Amino acid sequence: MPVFMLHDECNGCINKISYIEDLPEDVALITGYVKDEDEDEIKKIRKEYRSVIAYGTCTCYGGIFGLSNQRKNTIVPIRYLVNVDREIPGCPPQRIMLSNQLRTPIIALSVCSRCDRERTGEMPDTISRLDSIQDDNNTCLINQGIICSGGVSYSCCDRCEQCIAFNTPCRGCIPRNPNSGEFLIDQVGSLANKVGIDTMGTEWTTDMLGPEEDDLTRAIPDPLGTFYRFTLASSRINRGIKDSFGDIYKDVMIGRPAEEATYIASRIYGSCSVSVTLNYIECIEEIVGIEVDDTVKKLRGILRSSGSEFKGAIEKKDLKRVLSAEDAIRRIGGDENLSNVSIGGFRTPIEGIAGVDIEKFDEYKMAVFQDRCGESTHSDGTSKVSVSIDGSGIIDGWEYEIY
Amino acid sequence: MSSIVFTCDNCGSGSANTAGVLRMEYDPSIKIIRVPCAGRVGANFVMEAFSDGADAVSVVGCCLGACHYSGSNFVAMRRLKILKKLFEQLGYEPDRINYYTARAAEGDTFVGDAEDIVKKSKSGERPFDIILKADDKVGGV
Amino acid sequence: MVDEPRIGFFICHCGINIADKVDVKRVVEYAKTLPNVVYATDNMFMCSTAGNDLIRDAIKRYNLNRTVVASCSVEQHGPTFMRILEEENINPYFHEQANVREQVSWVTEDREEATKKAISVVRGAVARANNLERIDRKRIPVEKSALVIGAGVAGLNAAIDIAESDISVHLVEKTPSIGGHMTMLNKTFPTDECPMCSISPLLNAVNINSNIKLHIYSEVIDVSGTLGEFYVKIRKMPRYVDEEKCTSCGLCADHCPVELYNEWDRKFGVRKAIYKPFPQAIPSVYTIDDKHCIRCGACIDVCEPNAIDFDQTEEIIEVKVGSIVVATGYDEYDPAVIEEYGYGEYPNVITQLDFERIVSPTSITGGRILSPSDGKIPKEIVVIQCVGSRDEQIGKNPYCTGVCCMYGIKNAKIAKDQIKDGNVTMCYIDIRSPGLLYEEYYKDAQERGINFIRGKPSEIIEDPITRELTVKVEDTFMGKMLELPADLIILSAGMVAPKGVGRISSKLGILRGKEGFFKEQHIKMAPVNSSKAGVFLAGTAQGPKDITTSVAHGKGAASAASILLSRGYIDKDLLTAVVDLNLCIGCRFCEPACSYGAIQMKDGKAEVNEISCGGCGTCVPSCPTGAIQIRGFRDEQIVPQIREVLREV
Repeated sequence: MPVFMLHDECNGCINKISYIEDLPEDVALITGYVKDEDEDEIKKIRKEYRSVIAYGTCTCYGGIFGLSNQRKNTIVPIRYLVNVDREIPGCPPQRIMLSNQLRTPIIALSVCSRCDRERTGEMPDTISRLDSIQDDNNTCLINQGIICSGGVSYSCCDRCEQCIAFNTPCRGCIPRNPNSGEFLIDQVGSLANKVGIDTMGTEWTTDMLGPEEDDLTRAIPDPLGTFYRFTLASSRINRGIKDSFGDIYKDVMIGRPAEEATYIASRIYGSCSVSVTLNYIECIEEIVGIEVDDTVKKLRGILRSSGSEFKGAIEKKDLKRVLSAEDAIRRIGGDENLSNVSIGGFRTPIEGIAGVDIEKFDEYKMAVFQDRCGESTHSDGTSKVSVSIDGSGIIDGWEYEIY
Repeated sequence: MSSIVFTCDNCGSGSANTAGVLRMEYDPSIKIIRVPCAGRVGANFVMEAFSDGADAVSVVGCCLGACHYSGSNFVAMRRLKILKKLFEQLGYEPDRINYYTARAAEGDTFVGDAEDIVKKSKSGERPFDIILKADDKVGGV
Repeated sequence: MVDEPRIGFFICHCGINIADKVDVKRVVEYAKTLPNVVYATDNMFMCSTAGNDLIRDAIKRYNLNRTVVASCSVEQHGPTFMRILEEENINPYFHEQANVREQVSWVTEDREEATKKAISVVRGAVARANNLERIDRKRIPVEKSALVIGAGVAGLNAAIDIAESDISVHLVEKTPSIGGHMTMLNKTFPTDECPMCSISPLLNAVNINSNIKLHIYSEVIDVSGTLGEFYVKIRKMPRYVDEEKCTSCGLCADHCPVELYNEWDRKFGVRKAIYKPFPQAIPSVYTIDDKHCIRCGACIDVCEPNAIDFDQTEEIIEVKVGSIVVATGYDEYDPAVIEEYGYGEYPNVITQLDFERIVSPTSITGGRILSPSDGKIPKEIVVIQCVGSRDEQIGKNPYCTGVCCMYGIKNAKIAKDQIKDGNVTMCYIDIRSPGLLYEEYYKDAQERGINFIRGKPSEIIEDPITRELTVKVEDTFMGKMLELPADLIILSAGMVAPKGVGRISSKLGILRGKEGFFKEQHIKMAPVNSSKAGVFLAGTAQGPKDITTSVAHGKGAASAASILLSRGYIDKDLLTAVVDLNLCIGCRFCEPACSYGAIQMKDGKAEVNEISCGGCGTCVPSCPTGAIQIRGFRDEQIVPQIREVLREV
């Protein structure tokens, strides 16, 4: 089955496909994001093949790369250019969705129906940035005031949530709806009724919305990244007018809150994700002044070497090595998107690895942003990352190099 | 040039109607759409209005503390504040989205709101100048 | 199963009100091009019989199943047109009103702009009309009982009338006795009758009526629920006297060592820490003022029936009622803020209510008018009108109460009658004496020799040595500055909303006007309705008025409150929230969005209580899947309206 990837920055999806055999020849698969300018090429593919499948959230909705549209990029969902026969979203989609479900319809189940946490039906006392309060690991994240995209997303796998199982809020990688950002804004806005907002009086009326920063904008400093993480390109407000930095990764990363960037970088750097994510985390730890203990460092070391093993195996197209490296990554990182890896340590206990003390993991999930701005650079054998954050914990500088 | 103003059944429509009864004038670009309460207005209405060509979208509701449904006006304000910040991030003009209060017995509060809206509908960048081939229905997948 | 829409479009000229600015013929032609409009026409007055018949005939002839009328506001004539549909056996909610008067023709100067705006409004209305749905009517049983807050003359009348309609009433009063301000007065205009005599039968009637439950010395502390089903919490404060045992003999007060100024007597008289506010108080029992009682026990010693009980605590009573009448009354404006008049500083400067408590037969002077500074009979009395009223300055009120002129004249006459060799002067800006017998009353005052000076006194000066007061005023008819010596100065201070009323207003969820009084729903057509269904306004709670008007207003509120409950049920149009169970994922985010608490979970999905739902729609955006919608204001009904209103012609 011919696979077309017009933009190959991230190979997260194509890695899954490369080792699936037994797929028909007259079906073309398109993966990776597409832009306005790709229209002619896409139309040519459409003409040539009987069936066209869009694979991955980037192709179907624009994905995280779609966030680069905030800076005048022109990523679009593929259906704006041609009609496709099947859309398989996911970041990346589960392998099984392709081979088994090429012929059978995909059954969509909401994330909330899969999530075991308790829903209290109450408004949270305030909205908090991720990891700035202690998660009780039992109540629905939104009831605790942490924004989770579960309500507006479909669950991405059969067994349990990639993210929620590791105490990370759902990122929303399979949106219910191309406009799911609007639903999430409304949902969160309704539940933010206890958060303070700025109002002002005028000569003619008692109150109107004020323009100032207030508790609400401080609690949600990046509505774009939080609500439109995977769907900016497919939503009604699908691009911005600020000038591009000239590099798509920079266009995506700048403006994101420091605590979110971990989960963004781990998805868009493909087979280099482990290295970039860990380098990034170490930069933030240096800027903010967090010391991790030897156990964490040891585990990160094992993760890093699994990551570089994975990258090497992909390049050599050695399927057996790829699968075993993936398993090794999952043991520590949780899933291939490293949902278990966080600034300061890991989100859920890791067992079965010699010399690991599981009791220390909850200590670091607190107050990362203490008005410390700064910059830092870290590198390892695979990549180098330089990041700078401003006083409110938002990334304002991002440089990277893949060796 | 058109600005959409959502008015709530109580103070919003009340003050707009009072402005009419008192024959106070305001710019005809103000187009009023009635909703039962400011709390009914969500991001989908705001985005729909902008994507259909509105220059500004505002909600006129009851004074804080006077909402007939006890507090739903606060909820509307929070949704709109998030949208304003979103606009700012994308480079669009956040002043084009607003929430105003009005008092049903006072026409001049509505007229004041209308004048402010018209002023702000000319500022900064309007989103959706690039209208793409979006065919998404509301609420549909 | 909804039929294909067949819309009839009608635009009203409203005389020249719409047609003057909007080219109605052009709108008709335009409407014909809109989807599913099968008939379009115009008429001079759609609300007239001829206009209504036009709609009826069109429905029959063209088999219409929906109507769009472009005219005035939906509040004004929406029901008129909805009734026509009902009579033709079409669900009345298939009518859509497009406001092209208050929101277009009356506010737009340019004819072309007005017509274009009207066209866009009509386009939006037709788009909505194409998506309207049946709204059913549900019969809801109501609690056949009412709450009346405040036992002044308006509240008492309301309570009696409701009780006589065989509806049980909970009457709550926060002072120790019923009766209100009227019990403090000496005489009432224009007949100069004794108010205690007028109101006594009413007090007794309320006291013995078996349908009225009195909650005296109590306050409403919480209200929840809606029309037909209000849940009210009443806090009864402890009197420390057993109401059943107290015989009102008064021995306790005789022996109580603590003496205080009596607020009911405007601080001229004194009372004890155990007291009855006035002789004819109902209930006729004593009350211990806990703030000042020193618990010496002297009252316990002399109380034969052993009615004193210091073990009493406050009680919280919960009641369920179907409607509420608010009769919380007024306070007299406090003129202390007007420093140039020296109220509170000069003992001989008093207000009209203070005067009532001097000249009343039960007063500390036995009804003799004496100057408070020295107890001598005043020979020069000056009455000043409009104190703190009709004034835009800060600390004052712009409105005219409409009663001060009448009671100012009344007390001037009483003073002149009592002090035959005295001089009574009334300083006024205008004399307002509307209604039968009132102008005659004013003429009579002039004939009795009261001097009327048209001018507002600039200040009251006290001579530093003799302590005598002088009123400086310009006689604007003569063009002369006068300095009037005065032994007693009576200020006609107006009526203001009473202290603490803001709390009641927020507990009940009803609006107040900017003057502070509760806002009526419509100044002409609904003066007894508050801004919330099921809550009514009686008496001066809604605005300054005299006793006659307060009684009428209270009776009006009683009627409105009873009508709701008389059948034992009300019919509610279900413009309420509805949940699509296929889309509901049980996240429970709609629950806290509902300020009525109308959403509960059932079998893991949301369920809406249609009776409590107020139809505000706040739950709709809170749902991440769009499962909950509001009938009549669904996304599918509003979004096309937005689209069409914005479309360029």
